[in-house]
Amino acid sequence: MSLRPDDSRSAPSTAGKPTLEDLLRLKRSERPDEAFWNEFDRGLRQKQLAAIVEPRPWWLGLSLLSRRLAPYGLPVSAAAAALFAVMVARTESPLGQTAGSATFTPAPAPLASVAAPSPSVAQPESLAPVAAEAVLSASPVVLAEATPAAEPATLATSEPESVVEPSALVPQEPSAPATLPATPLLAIDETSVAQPAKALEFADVGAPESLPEAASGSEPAAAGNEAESLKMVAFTPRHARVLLAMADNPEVQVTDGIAHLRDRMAHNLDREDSIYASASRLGVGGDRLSLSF
Amino acid sequence: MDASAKVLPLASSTTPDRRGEAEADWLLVRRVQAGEVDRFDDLVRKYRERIWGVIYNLTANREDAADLTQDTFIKAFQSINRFQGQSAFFTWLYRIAVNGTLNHLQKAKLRRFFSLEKIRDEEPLAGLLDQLADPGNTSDRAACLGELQQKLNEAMQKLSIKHRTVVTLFEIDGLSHEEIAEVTGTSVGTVRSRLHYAKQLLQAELQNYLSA
Repeated sequence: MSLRPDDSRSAPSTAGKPTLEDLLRLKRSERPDEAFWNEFDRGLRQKQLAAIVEPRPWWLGLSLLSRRLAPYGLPVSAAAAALFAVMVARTESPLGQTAGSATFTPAPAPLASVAAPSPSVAQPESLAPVAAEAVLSASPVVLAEATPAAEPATLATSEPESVVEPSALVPQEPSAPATLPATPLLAIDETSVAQPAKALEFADVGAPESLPEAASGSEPAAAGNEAESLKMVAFTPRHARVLLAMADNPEVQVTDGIAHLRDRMAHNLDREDSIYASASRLGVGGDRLSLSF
Repeated sequence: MDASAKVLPLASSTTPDRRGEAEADWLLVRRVQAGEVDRFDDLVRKYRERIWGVIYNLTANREDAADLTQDTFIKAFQSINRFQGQSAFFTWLYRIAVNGTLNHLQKAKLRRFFSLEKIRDEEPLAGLLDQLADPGNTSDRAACLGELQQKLNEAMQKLSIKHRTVVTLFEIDGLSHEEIAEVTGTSVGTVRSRLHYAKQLLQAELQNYLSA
């Protein structure tokens, strides 16, 4: 860095102490020499080439796109809002609810477990009245869903789950009387019973060919497998509801294993009820928190 | 309407020289936008010293100033299609340079916070001023001026970034208040206020070496 002697503004205006303006103007003469600018030009050229090669960040493309679409933002937003409003209105209408629930597909897992014929477990035909009763006690919408003729295509395409062996419901003691737990079963509402009922009814209509095959596989099933299979059956709430529906049917032979499972389910339901009851004691209103005993 | 015949919305205080310069720049920009990218080199050659000077006086570092000046021209070249002549080209270029420099200084400020730079003790320069007052001794006078420049640089670095920017653009680069307001995105009143305050600080910092 050097001062250029030809710059007349670089000299202080006074012979003695310079003023601040003199010093500030003096800084204008601080200029690099030509060698610096040659190096500068070479570096600039390299950076220009590098800028062409290196990919631009993704958000830069987004910002450019948004800038180009800015003039269309208002009409597009208005159209999107109108479309959203129409969709919400259609979804919340009763017609929309019926149309949406018409595509209900019964779960295949309970079908496989219940549809297996066994000497001790009632045939699917005998479960149909139970399902019908449950369906009748449910809402009309559910009744429409449970009609087998409503969804024959869906039923045909649904594959039964092969996790549970057909021998899963073979009882250890076929002649054991049914021991139904008392109160926990009453905690199940009508709609929850209606779902396994639907499943049972669909199983009756949709998979008749699979019944003999399942029955042939149930004979050699050993009793040692039974407990584990029953545990697998009762793993999900849906399975639990199927078993409870079976328990409501007096024709179904309830074994000790099933009764044990039912006890476990009842215990779990009691626990859920207690959690719900403890949660319902809490009340939040405004800035207050109330706890009722 | 021919775009090159567009009247640039320059500040009312813009001098005729600046106006002619801005119109010539606009013609060059239009040619670059039309695909004659070599014309951008003309703009680089025209403004590189001024841009470098601004950045150098803001950063007080020669190499940083060179890098930031190159980055300024790269950004300008990448964005030149978006320049629609809403302001003078040099104002637009200054704005890119100042913003890039401020970002750099913010990062440098953080680094300075974490690493303690060496601090020099104040050197008494009273005798230097006496030599400066001697008109016959020209070699000593140049040396004194150099030391005064260094002292001024140190005083400038003690200013805040905003105040340093205003002083640099006004006193060193000769921009008007309106142009500085446009570059920094502030009002003219703010520019005047910052300039006044910055000069007061500099005066106080260099009071031993300046005439009243």
